Amino acid sequence: MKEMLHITGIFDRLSGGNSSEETNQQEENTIEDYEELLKEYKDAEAEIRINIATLYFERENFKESIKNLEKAIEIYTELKDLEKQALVFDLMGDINRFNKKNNSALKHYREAYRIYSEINSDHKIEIQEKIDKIQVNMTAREAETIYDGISPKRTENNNVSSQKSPDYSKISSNIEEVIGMLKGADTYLSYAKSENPMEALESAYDMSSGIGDDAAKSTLLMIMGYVNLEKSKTEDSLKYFNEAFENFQEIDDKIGVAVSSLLIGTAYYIIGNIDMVNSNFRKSIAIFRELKDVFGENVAMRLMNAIYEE
Amino acid sequence: MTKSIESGIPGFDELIMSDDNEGGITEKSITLIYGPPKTGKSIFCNQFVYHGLLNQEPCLYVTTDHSMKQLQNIMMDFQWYIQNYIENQTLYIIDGISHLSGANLIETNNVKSSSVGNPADMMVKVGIGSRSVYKKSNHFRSVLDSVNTLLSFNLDQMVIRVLKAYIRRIIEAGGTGIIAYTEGSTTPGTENELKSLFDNTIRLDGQNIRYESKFDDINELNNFESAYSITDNGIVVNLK
Repeated sequence: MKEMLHITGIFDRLSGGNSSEETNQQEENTIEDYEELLKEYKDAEAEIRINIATLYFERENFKESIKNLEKAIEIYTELKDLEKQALVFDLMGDINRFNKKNNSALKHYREAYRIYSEINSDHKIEIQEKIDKIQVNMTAREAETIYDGISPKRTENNNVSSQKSPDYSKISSNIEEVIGMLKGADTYLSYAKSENPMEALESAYDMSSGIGDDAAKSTLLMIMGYVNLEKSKTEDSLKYFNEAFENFQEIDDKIGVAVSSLLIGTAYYIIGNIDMVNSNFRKSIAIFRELKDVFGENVAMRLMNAIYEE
Repeated sequence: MTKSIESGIPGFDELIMSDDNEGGITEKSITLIYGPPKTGKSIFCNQFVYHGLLNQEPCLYVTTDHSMKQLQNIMMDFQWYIQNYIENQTLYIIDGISHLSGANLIETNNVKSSSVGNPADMMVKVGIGSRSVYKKSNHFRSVLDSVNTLLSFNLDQMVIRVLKAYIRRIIEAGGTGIIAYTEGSTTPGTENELKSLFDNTIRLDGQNIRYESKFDDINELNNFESAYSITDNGIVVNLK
């Protein structure tokens, strides 16, 4: 609607209006004025392309959506509007990510990152986070098969405080997918596969504390919680998840808060405290929605579905 | 007299020879090599590493600007072939960039993949790597090329802490190293803080090489400067 009003404004100006004042104004127009007008016109066309792309996206017609965004890019390139070019590349990345075309999404996000870096825009940080998330997720998926092989053996461990749920193996891959959304998780998840995972993770935790990498520190706590969860040490895992949750809150990492809430909920599910499951899941979903993180929300929903289907 | 190791750069060791320095890169220290882009910083690092390898000195190489494969190709341009040294495990490589670019790096005992975006992981691997090369010899060379990529992916102050940890780790293990940095890649404040971490610095500007050392007397820097050129065989310092 806003765009339509904008266009209407342009048409009014082109028509010169009816009043004598407007007619005089038009007579004074120079080539520069018209060139400026033409720029506004093109800018409006690009915005309409984005609106059309949005509608196609809502109808899940990703091909047409991307096609319109590509046209918007062409216009912004002609207008030499770098910031809007970056914005559109970012949108194309979002669409491809939603459509699970991770490589294309990465390509578009990288282009957006390059442009935002060139114009020294703070938006590059957001884009970097998106790039990280995709890379993390791509690697986490590759790791799934390895973890699937590990989980069934864990039922033998009975020397722990809480109940081993036979359902755990069903949600193991979902948990990894959830952790995979965290910065650096792809790398640190590999520590969980080492001969002595807790030792390796603790060593990395000490290092991250030493260099002040708070995000990595919290991610490592999450993975330590995950390793404990796999070993049926649910109470211990809950301690790690809660500590990570507090850290994520401290550094204002909303994705981290959402992810830790999910896994706190998952641990409570294994313990059997359904009230805590629901409240933590709700908290997590609310954050993803607030962030308009469709991908994150989908990952969370998959884990929740796996749990509630039980 | 400060103990030094041969840099491998013709003319450089002679240039910085003095009553305090027997010539060469100060042993068990980390030197910062910096300057504008395309002035030969990486070539200097690679030449330093290759010279060590030729003398059977183990080397720990953290590459963040180029993947291991690219590094091999770049070195090959100067007829510095490192494949054998990778195979016989004299050269330990931590590749901090392949993973980010989506390339699949096969890890071995002495080739490790990390990510510049995960400095804690990188430092854990530096710890493992330095222990590994130390086992081969308590004198080894190390290179980190470059700080720039770390700065692109992490907060400045975190990178400073990473470098402090790196320097401490290498020196404790008895290594002698070089870290490369392209001028202007961060704020002047961070750049000054970065330079202050090093007792010895080398600046390349495309024409002249300048060495500064505050090892013996922090109030009085030792300065040495001369012209240099980049040849098919690497950097050559043209002594006056």
